[in-house]
Amino acid sequence: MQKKGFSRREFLSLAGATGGAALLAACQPVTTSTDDDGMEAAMEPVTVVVQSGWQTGSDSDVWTPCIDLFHEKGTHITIEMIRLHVTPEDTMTAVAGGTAPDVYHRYIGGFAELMARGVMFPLDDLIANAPGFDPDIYLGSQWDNGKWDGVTYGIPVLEGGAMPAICWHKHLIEEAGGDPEVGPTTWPELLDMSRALLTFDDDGNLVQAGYDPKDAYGFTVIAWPVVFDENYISEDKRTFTFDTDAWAEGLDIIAQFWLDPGVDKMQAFADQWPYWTGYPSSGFNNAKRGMIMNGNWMPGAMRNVVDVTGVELDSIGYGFHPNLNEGLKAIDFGTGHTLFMPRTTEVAEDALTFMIHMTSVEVGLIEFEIRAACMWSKPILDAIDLSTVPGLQWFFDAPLEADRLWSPNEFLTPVQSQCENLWQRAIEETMFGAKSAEDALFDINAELQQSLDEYWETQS
Amino acid sequence: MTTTDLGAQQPELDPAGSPELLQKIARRRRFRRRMLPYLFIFPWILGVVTFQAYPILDSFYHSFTIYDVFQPAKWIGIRNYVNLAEHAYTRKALMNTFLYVVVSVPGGLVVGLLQALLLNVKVRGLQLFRTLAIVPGTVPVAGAAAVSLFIWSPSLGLINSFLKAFGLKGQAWLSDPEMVKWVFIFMTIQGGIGMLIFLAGLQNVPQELYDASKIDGAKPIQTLFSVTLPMLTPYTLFNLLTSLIGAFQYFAGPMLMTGGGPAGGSLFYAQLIYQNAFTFFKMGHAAALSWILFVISVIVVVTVFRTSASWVYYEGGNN
Repeated sequence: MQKKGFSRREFLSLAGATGGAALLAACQPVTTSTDDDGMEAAMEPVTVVVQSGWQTGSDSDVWTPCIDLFHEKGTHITIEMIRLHVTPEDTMTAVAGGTAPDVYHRYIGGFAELMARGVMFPLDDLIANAPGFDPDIYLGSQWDNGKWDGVTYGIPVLEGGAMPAICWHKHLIEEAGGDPEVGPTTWPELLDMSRALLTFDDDGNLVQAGYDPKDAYGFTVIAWPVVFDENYISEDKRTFTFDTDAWAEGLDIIAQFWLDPGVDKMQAFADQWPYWTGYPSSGFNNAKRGMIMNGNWMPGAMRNVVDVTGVELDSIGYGFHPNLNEGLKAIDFGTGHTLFMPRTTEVAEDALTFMIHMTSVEVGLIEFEIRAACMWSKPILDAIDLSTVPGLQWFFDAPLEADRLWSPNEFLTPVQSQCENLWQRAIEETMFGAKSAEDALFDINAELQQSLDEYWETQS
Repeated sequence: MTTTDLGAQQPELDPAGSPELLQKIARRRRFRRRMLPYLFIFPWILGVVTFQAYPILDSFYHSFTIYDVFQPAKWIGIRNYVNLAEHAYTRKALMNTFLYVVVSVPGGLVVGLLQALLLNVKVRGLQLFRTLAIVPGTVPVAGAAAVSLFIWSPSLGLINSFLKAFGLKGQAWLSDPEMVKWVFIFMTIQGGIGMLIFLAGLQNVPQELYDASKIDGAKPIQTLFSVTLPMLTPYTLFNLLTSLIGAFQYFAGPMLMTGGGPAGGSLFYAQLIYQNAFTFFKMGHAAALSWILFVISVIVVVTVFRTSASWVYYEGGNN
């Protein structure tokens, strides 16, 4: 007898089998097929997926011209861009789930713990065999940006190391009784000038501020070892050292900048006049803030919005940030933009080819054209004229003049995100008077030490 | 007639077969018929086991380990629970969450009930009013959070501008550690879905009870307390339980608006779990925190259920 269709039994069996197969397939990690058949296979078209959420907007898109330039070189590699902000959380879940892109672009903070946990792909062997790439283009500790425990996981690119300075409006420093050409050179001086610049309206609202330690660079904990000349973690990365007198003194100073105008007034002012100098509404761009700690991207960012803000770029002063170790010219040189590969990538060699392209002079020129910023790379600095952007020269001279170049390797920890979070907690607790600086630091130190101990426990 | 009976009555395909074979076939058919319903619900069971039961049991195991997703989990016994008990911010998050539960749950029930009572009054444009009442609950949390930031902003916010217009001093709503938690409590006290459930309950109250109370000369307030509210108690119980469970898990608003700050003022328990898991890579701590919350929620829910016999009225029931 000829069958006319499925019996119920057959249908259920088939449905069960199909469902089971689909479930199994869904549980498989997403992988790209690889081929080890030598040169012919290696030259087959390959797509490298790159993720970044930085400078991806249409008016400031750095990536498209850089990728176009790479494609023009006519390699077998095609770059596919995911224009999405990269966070350690997303990276963790993407790598664990096997859905990560091949290259991540991110500012180094937060990726330290991923490097420390073996989430990133070690690059040393690949770099050693990469033609046409010389890490000596970087100066000193900048190359350490993508290193953890002596292993290279990332390559500094684009605006690279931060090289943060204290920047000031000369006319405001003059109003505050300071030398407009020298700016504040000590913490007490900085505090006095900041106090002198505080201005309130008739309703008691803050309408002009001096210096805000939680500003464009000070928002992150990694700004502070440099200007306190005191690290928060031991050299072997096994002990947190927030519970020292130097940190307590530093935290008290930070809190004082907020306590002087009043915490609520300072917060209201920060809401109205944001820190980031890339925004036309930035407090510093509009001379509503007298001083700011900011990195080498600032002169270019300010120049790009000068039509809106009208700020006189030549009237901005730059100098080494005051240090608790008075007179020390210290600078963070290395904490910046970096390209990493997650360990799940199947196209590491091809991804490295693109990463190296992003360190090239051509890319440096593209970025300089669009953002008036660049990284400290010898060939790029030879190819561009820093003097076309007022103030930029200072940032590139600073690493050469500094007494102390801090490397990210010195202060990044395997529990960096928690370190950031708890540092903010300590600042807020001190500002609101919930705890003394000593107690707040003692508490976060104990909690961080517990996490650090747990990290090392898993490494043993 | 049972499925077994049905199976037994099926005509045999092979009358020439041995009795043993026939019995075997009949047994197989009966077994298949018994199994058929389970086969239909198998996809659901698979989903529950894979996406709920397994993660729940897995999180219980991981609450006794150090686990960061990338390294193998390391067994440490109850140390996570001991450490969490010592952390000041665990206690702070618990206290903030308890305050939120104690104030926002009753507040939400009262507001929902009052809204439902109003929207149960027959007036012109009733459908429009009902629609308007439910609209706030349809706004995505992220959108509501973004708008709320503008409303509560100390310098540019609507509320402070309103206060200023009356010569009153604006407040640091979101930047004061004590005030910020009250902002979130206030923001979430609204009728929402609870109002809809109360409204459905109100329409189920038998009209004859109202008629009887009218004949007895009851005043509206007496009718409310002697007829309406008792008849709504099953709906109140449902709203109370769902609100309690939801309140213990309150997360999105503070996460998006303040990140738990300042100084932990708006740090609620669910955000502490999120922080530990996805920001600090401390899955073991997060799992332990989750189980603590689970136990607390169960205790509260069981207590409510136990007491419900004394205050919930079911028509046709014993009380």
